[in-house]
Amino acid sequence: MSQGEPILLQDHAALAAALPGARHPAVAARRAEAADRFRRLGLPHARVEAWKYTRLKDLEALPFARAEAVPATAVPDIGLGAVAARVLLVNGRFDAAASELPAVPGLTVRSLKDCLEAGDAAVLELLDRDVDETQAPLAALAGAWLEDGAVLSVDAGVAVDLPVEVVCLAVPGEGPRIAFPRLAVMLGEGASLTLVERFHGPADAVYAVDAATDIAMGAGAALNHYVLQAEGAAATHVSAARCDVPANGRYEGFILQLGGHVARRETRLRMMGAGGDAKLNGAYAATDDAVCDTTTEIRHVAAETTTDQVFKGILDDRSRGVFQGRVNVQRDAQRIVGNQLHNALLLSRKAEVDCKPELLIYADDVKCSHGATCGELSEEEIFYLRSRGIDAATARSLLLEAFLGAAIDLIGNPPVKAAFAARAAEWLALRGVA
Amino acid sequence: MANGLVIKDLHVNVGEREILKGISLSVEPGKVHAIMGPNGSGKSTLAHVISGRPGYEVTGGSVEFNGVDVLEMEPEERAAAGLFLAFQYPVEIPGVTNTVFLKTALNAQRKARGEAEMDPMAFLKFLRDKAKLLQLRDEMLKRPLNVGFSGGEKKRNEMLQMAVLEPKLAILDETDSGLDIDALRIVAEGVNAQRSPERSFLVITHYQRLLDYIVPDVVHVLAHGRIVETGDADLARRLEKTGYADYTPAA
Repeated sequence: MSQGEPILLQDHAALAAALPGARHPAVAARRAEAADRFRRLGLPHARVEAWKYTRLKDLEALPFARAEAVPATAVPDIGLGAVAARVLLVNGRFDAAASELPAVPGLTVRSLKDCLEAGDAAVLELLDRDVDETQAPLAALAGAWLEDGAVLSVDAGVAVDLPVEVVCLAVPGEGPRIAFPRLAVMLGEGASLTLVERFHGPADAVYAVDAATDIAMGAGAALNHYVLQAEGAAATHVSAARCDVPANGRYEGFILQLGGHVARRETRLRMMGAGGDAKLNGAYAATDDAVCDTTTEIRHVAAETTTDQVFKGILDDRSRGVFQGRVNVQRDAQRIVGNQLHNALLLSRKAEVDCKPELLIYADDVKCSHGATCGELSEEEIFYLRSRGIDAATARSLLLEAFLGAAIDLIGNPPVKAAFAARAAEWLALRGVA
Repeated sequence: MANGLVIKDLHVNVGEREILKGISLSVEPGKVHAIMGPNGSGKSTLAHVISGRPGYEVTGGSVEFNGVDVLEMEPEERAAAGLFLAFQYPVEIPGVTNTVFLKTALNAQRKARGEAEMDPMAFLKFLRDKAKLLQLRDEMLKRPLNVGFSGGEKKRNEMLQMAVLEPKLAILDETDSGLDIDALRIVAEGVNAQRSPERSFLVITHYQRLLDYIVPDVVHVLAHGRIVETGDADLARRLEKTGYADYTPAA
């Protein structure tokens, strides 16, 4: 591609010297190393298998600059009700004034900026966990600009009852801007937390978000991790979550993607100890020429671990859905269970879905399954509803809501389930998808 | 004009093939008409055309309900006008609960007729009372529509929908098929409980058995797309003995 410094790394060396914690060699070296990695990798291209179906065409075409530090704009409410804390990241930067941070016993919320300034070893270690670098050019880019975000910690044995919300709000400036929200979550042994991560931005501004969430769990910890991606229709969104699920740990994830021009959510789970259980489910819907990508990678490292994935997507107009689900069972991971299901509904002749389930099994005593379907709304079902007096448009939206609802119903936390169901229904009604 | 269902010289094609070849029939309010006939005679086609299922081409004739041209109406408009079809094969709809479905349907019809929507608490009580009559457990009202229901439960659920929607004309399309004798009796009792001077029924069946329980005022025999004989309940009993052999064409 282009010679010389990539535009996304413009003035990196000079600017990095002023970023938080630059005086700590570990922090500075990390940024420099990540920048080198991004120079080597460049933006993902079709020859990289992991990015074969999703091109970041807006990032390639337009001169994106790092988003400025700006004040918060209004945060959309999703009707979640009471929360333990609401953390607001504006263009990736921790906005303490606009956040709600009441004292909750056992829960600590810090800005990543403060942790970097302090050279916090535990946080750095979590951010540094091995990344398969050929797969992760956007992680390299975010690493080069590592600046701020939120760090949540829950003490051992503490159950935080109400959800903690982390809202990543994009506030674009003049011209295309890219933000790098960063979230680190540390649960002590036996701790439990419900985390709602959500992404919002203006409807028509061109902006990009390159986000990452790193999660560390102590033995027996439990995390409900719910993600709402509701970026504006012209946004590029790439985010990745990584979590090691320990022995007897429980991870329940749900990803609802309803926004973005090009959006990709990656989730990488490693099942590290016996008795670890992960459920990773999601729903998505796209219209116009949007691309919505859900990529999951589950690695069964230890024996006697269980994972289950259910994803449902609706594609209208010329939109395209991508589902890449890899389940990797390592040699010693005997007696594991790994199930995966992806169902897509195409509402238009020009809509498309690319589905790539991958099972890589190196153990010989496992139960694994995967299923993928792709279809249209059933005329039979529509007629049945119409014959009872329900008009055609209402019949279609009932069926679409029901289709996504089958996944949303898997959310274990009732207020989150209700909020996500309402959000999906509102989206379907607003877009006139039917 | 409450003169019920009036079908005149109805011709219907599916693709190139003519299935109904000139059907004329009138069902007055309060009456129960049965349509019997061998397989492939066009019984279900008639039910589908009256209810507006896509895939049928009306090439001639008319269907009016209380003076209004039914063939010009969308399926949901026909429902709001008081037509109801109990499906031979009720459709399973995962993700939409029976209760939500019935409430949406009833309120859509009421709205179309310019009536107020029923309030949720009143609706629930109304629904439970109807379900009790059909021996449907409360739990089935919370389940997704027809999903995991047995054949008999599906048919009883059709009767529940009829009881809730209170149509002026109900068409039962082989509601007896696949029912054991107990389910048949429950379904028939459900129908009989709803017989009234205002409500008429068009009962489509292959067998006479259902008509032991739902005694019709008029019986028509449909064969090869035409009504070949019309009589009273005795005609059905006679058919039980002789079968449809008399109506098969000389080859």
